[in-house]
Amino acid sequence: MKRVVIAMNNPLVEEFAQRWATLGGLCYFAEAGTDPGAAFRQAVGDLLGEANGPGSALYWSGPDWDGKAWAEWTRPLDSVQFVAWDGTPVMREVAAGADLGITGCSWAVAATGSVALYHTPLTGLLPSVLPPAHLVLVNHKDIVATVADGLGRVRGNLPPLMKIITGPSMTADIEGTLVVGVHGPGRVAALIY
Amino acid sequence: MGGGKMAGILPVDTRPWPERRDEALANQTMRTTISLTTRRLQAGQLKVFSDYPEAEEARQRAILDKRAAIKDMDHLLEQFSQAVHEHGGHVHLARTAPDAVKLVRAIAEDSKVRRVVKTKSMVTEEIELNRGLIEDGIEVLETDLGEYIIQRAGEKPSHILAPAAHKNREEVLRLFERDASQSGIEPPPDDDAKTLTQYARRRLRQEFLRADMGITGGNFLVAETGSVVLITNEGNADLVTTLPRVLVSVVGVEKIIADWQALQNIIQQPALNGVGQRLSSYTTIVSGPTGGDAAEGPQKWHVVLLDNGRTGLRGTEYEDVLSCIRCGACLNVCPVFRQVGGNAYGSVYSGPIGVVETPLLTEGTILAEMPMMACTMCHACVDACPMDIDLPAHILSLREENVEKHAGSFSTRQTYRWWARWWATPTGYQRSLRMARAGQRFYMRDGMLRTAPGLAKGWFQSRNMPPVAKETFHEWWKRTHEEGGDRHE
Repeated sequence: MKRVVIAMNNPLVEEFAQRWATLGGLCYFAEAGTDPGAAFRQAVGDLLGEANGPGSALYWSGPDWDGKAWAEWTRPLDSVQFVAWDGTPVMREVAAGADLGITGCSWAVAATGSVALYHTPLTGLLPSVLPPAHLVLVNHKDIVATVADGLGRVRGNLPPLMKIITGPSMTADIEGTLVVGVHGPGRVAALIY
Repeated sequence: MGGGKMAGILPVDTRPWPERRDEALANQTMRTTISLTTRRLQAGQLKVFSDYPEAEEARQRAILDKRAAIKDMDHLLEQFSQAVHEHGGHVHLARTAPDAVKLVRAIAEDSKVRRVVKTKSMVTEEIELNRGLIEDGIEVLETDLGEYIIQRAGEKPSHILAPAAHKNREEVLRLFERDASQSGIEPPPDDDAKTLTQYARRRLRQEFLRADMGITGGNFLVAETGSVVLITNEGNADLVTTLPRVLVSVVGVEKIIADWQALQNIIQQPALNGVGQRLSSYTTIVSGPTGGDAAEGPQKWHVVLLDNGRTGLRGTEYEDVLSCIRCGACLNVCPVFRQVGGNAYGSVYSGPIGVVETPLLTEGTILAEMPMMACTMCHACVDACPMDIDLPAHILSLREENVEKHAGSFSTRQTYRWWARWWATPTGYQRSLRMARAGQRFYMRDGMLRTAPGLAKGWFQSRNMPPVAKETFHEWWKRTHEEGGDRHE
């Protein structure tokens, strides 16, 4: 975790990354002044397996994520088919068939290693739960200290559906054995930018 | 809620406690898993609080919030209903379990529902919702892995958080093999927990995608915002709330909290105390339907608020029972629960909270004897309870009520009076032993007393007793120390 301190020089980022990793999540950093595309490709490659595919990824990102560079970043991943979430009903099938879901988040919590997603037509929740892997793009400015701080941001801005994700989907329902990837993703990664 | 208070109706296993208990004690799979699970969860609770002081501060605030919300319940439920209506949802009040089932069946019929997927919900177990829907020809699938397993077996949850704790891997494999052949899909290749889980993922995925209606419970109702909060680790609540076109949330009225601030205080408590995590993997907050042709979220959202005997506890000494957040912490520490598991209790609510809540919700019509049977008065539950519910005090009160109501018969009183008279003096006590010794040979088997005449027979139903010795300590003392004046000072 030493790298985190150097990378962001921000105690909230450090705490978030530590908690996220404790829960079994992977963590990637796109430091200011570096090419976020490299961290992004690394994350996608790790989540899809060593061969970088072939696979399909369904994605949306927050307004502050550099969407213009998207095509450029994803070009080297030519075996991966990227589909943009557009909020139409067909997205259900796309999400169910995707190998990877990529989403932004509204805020993240350092104390618990959580990320919060709001449903809007263009920011769907399904990419975070239907595919077997989820990559969440976290703006370091959106990392708050506590769950209460995060929930405080919801006031006056309550979506019909929202979720707070804390680690992979898991169960211990069979003989108390911990298994990840029940109904949601078993592999989760955060890219902090 | 106003109006008259009504007793709730809960499902009950009508077999007597000794039968349920003995069945549980003979089930080694259940006892091993329950023992491991409860200890793991208890250790988790202790550990997570040890390096997280904010959790304890939040807990203290959450208790105050929850107590205040129960007092202000009528007003808050009204506020909740109004907020849900403003977001385009519908709220229904159900007085009793049958009322709630009737409401959900009507919603399902209205929306021409054929297939239902459910999250784990104690309340829907309480009202036996599945049976009602299945009677209408609707397919109902539990989607929590543990619930899915026990639904396949036609059984009841043995632990609030680990419903299938009484099943081992081989049993789960057999259930899934049968399930696979019935639904025409490939069975799991082996009985590894991971393989079995992967099977359930595959099997249930298709059901999620084609279900018309999702049914959830709810961990909290936020009055201010009209929100239902769901907490899961598997992610099934996310699918149940986002995929089907109709969503029904069935929630007990006592789940109400006043506002968003109260949610901030309490939101982590189920995970902290239930599984020893700072937050569960998925916290899902539903505040309204997403509308017509959205890719996700329900077109219609109904909330069924269930009373079923809850409001009757308000203003009584048992009011704090309504603050229960169903974390299961009291089950995990209970020495009785650790031995017999949940099914032996005969109610959907088991463990210390169950022996208190089941008779209270039903005004003593079912399982009123459980506070007498399933408690050693060790007080571990009150220490573990995050909401500081005084369970041992309630168990004592219920025992007293029980004695007043049921054990006050003439013969019982006479037996105790007779026993008290004999044992009140050393002579009487010694004489009773001599009499027991004279008669005991008729009741002995394998060197132990196995039964006794009259009312004492009941005592022996669950216990054996060593026989009275050929020579008791008193007799030995008298013989060796008193007779002949050979006394040691």
